[in-house]
Amino acid sequence: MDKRTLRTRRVALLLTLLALIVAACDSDSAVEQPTPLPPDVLRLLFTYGSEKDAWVKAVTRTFNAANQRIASGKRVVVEPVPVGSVEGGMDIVEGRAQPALWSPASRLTLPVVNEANLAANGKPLVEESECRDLVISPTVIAMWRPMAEALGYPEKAIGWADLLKLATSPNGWADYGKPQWGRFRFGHTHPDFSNSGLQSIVAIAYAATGKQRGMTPEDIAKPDVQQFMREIESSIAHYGRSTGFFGEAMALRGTPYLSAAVLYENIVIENNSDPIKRSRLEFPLVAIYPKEGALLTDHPACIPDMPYMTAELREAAELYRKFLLEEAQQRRALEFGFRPADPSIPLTAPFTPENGVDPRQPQTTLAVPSAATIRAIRELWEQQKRPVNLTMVFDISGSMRERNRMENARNGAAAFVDQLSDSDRLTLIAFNDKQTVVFDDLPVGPNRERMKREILSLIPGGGTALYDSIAFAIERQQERLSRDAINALVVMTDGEDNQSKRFLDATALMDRFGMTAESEVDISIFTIGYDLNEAGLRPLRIIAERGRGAFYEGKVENIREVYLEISTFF
Amino acid sequence: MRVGYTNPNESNGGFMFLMALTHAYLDRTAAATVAELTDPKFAEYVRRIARAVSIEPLNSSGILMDNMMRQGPATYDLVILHEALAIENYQIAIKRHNIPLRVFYPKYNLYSEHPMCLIDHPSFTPQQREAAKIYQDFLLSREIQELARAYGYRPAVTDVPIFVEGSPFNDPEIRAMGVSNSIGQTLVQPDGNTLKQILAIWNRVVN
Repeated sequence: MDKRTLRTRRVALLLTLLALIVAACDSDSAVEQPTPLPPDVLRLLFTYGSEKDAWVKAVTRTFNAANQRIASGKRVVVEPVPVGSVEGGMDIVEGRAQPALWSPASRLTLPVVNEANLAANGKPLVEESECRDLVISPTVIAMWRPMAEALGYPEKAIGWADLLKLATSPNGWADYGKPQWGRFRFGHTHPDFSNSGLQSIVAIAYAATGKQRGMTPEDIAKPDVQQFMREIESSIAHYGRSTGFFGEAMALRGTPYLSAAVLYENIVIENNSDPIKRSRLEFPLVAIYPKEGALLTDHPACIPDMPYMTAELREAAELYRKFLLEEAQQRRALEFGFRPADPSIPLTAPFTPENGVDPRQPQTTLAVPSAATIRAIRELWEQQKRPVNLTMVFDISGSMRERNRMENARNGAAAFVDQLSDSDRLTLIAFNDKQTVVFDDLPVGPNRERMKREILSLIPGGGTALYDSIAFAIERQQERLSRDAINALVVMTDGEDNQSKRFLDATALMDRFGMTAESEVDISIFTIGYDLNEAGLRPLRIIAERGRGAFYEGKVENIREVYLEISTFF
Repeated sequence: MRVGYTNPNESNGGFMFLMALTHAYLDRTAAATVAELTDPKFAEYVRRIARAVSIEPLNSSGILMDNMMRQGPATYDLVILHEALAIENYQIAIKRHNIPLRVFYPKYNLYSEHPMCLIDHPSFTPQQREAAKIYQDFLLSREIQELARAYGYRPAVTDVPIFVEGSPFNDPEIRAMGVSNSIGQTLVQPDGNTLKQILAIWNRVVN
């Protein structure tokens, strides 16, 4: 697939995922009609990167309770809505949302969204110099403390080059005297959807060029930069849409799942300082501030330059932004693990070594590259990212006839195939009380249309041997595991298992196939519980949790969106 | 070297930076002339400086100082801005980064005098003019000039001393950061046409 087609598909996917969110909001409002606003109230929509949600919600409650008014006497009521950083900007560009104030996680998003608005509406969306930073958090490599110590932490400065060495070594952690930790397993989010994913690939590109600013598209085109990107990406467990997901999954699943992931410093603090979260960690996490330089999430708050912005809205946005920058609100940011944008507030607790962070770091920050350079990095990543070697395990039992389940699931799976890259490989196993290999280990590029036709012609009937079918799929996949690819299963089922003979429950299945640190090559298992009750969902959660993947609950109405959401992991 | 400065097209601090650079090139205090600046050697000199300070400039000195205090030595080795901002942020740098600031004055320097001007326009009534004059006199009163000094500004009224007991300029910590009565040799500002020329050369080599 050429780059343009892939980019178009990505945009289409983004729009679909947004439509899912909008649809969810609509259904809420259908149930609960909002009370009409009194005439003296001005509603201010504030969309922002979800990383700072807890702080924003806490301080906005204070703002709304304080009856703040603009010059006309209208009371300002702020409605805070967390969204993905890139998505939030594209919402405005595409006319789906009209916030008076928008705050993505970092300034890295601004050239990307400004470029999009220039193309769509003839001018940049925001004046970058007019944006005000609300809080700061460096983007870090979060690593388990013993693993970081094996690399020389805290005495030795660690960087991307150290990770590259680990990622490309066939011995993994054995090179550092820790063979029991297995291979180096790394995670960052998908750069088309998530700020931290975009920051990850920009930071990797900077490390490859040896620069800290002034990086150009010509730098990105150099073969050694391409090789650096490919080799770092070769250790990726999978991608994903949410930085929060990686933080949660890493904390819950421990060292066999990931050795390190790109997260924000505040997530490291949160996991270490919250007693409940701390108690479930296998080891404490520490923040590695890469020695080649780190990008900051500076959470700029920007007033969009769009026709819907009235003078009153602008005045209200400025009033609210000023409030967020006042000392009381800035001090509260510390509680949530953010560095206040107000530099007069010292970085006291929780910025302590016990929480795995160092307020004297990073030693070097990386400059935001130009829009053209960011575009070149995204294209490079698209070429060098880890391909996927995937098996879809698709339930065709008789119950799939009910309520249009089959038709919608087939459409969802076909849309999923559209999101895969040409170089990805796909197997389809349809199952009821037995397993049928519909097509086997085919490259997606030349077979995409055939694959979709096969999926769209699946016919339901028979019982459900879920556990044995997953075992069948794993064993087949194990025969052709690729070290150079993300090996994954996407399992969709609408029924509880009533036919398996070898494995009678999810625990038995995962005792046999669950993740271990020692495995040479990992298989990630993503599960979709489709139109199921809680008892039916529980085993699928266990399988995803112990299978390095993620669990989703699907309904007839949203199964397509669930499939598309899973595609962001690849 | 990571040098922060403000955009000379938008900020007084940025323009003063350009003036100091120009006189460092000329190595004299006397005003520059258009003929000297059209010499390709000057453009080459500006180009070398611009390449060395390639951090994207900001549009205001206040924002630049805030950024330096927020991001610290990870982003900036030095910034070029007004002395008052350095004095005002001395304690902040220690509290936030545990590193004191150090002040250096360029060899050829100039003051930011903050002139306050009464606008000569027919729409202004005599009463407005009188009111503006009262306000101007107030700002130049001893009490307010001393208040300005507390914020790190050198009083414009010469009978209000700068280095005196109770003034931040006399604070041993502020003196230790390099704040001094010797601010370098005061350069002579050229005519408007030459100023435009300096800005045009900068814009050409930077863009």
